[in-house]
Amino acid sequence: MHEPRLSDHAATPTDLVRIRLFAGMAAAIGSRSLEVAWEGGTAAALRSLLIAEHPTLAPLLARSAVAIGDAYVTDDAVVPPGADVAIIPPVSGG
Amino acid sequence: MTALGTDTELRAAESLLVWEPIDAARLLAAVADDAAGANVLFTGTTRGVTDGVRTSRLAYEAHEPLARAQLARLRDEAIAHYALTACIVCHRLGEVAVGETSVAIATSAPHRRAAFAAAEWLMERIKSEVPIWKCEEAVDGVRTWIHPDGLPQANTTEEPASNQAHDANHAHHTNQDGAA
Repeated sequence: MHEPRLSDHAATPTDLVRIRLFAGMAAAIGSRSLEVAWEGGTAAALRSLLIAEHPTLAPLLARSAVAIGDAYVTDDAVVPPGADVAIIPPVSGG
Repeated sequence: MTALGTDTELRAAESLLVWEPIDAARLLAAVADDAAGANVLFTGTTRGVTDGVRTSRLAYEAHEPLARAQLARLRDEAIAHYALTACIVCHRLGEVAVGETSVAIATSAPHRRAAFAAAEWLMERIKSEVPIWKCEEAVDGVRTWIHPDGLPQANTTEEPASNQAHDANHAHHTNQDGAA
């Protein structure tokens, strides 16, 4: 039988956010994604958190945009837990 | 060759990200139309030397859903603002040999100035807004992802000139990065 769990929510991945990384950022840390504890907040706050946790990414993070799903979001946009977040460093297509 | 589908499918495509060589002539043929008197094809090809450093290999990667959405948005804006008859935008991903086409834009319009201006505007916007990145591998094996200086312009989208389709006697876009 399962133990009764009164605070199921606290243990679910919905208190995390997975962040996709690309190009020089993925190369810098040797991974294409990061997972961080996240209860929600603005895109700017998420960027600040990542800068604090991953100083090697700081220079690119400071120049990066944030996307959720298939859209860019502004710095004051709310990033909910569990969102499909990507950090978009300066682009070089063409 | 590319598996780009029929001309009709090509013209209807909101965005094209491909992993095979781009057959640019096919894009140009696909935008041809009885209503168009001008057809423009731009191809961007990979350089073998950048800033004096010989490049042996190049590769591109993208945030694909976001790149598709951005390419589709830019194409829609170009068609609307430049009154294009047709417009196809195609970017290649993965490894691209030196000298091959990495990006191709084909536009058609009743008159040449709109077709030229739209292709150039699209290229400028692609280079600053679409999440695609280039990795250069030098002959010594050192790989470098290219992240140009300056903030991404995701939220500062520059509008195309509004009246160009009928009165297009000057360049219609503003170069933000100073490139030619």
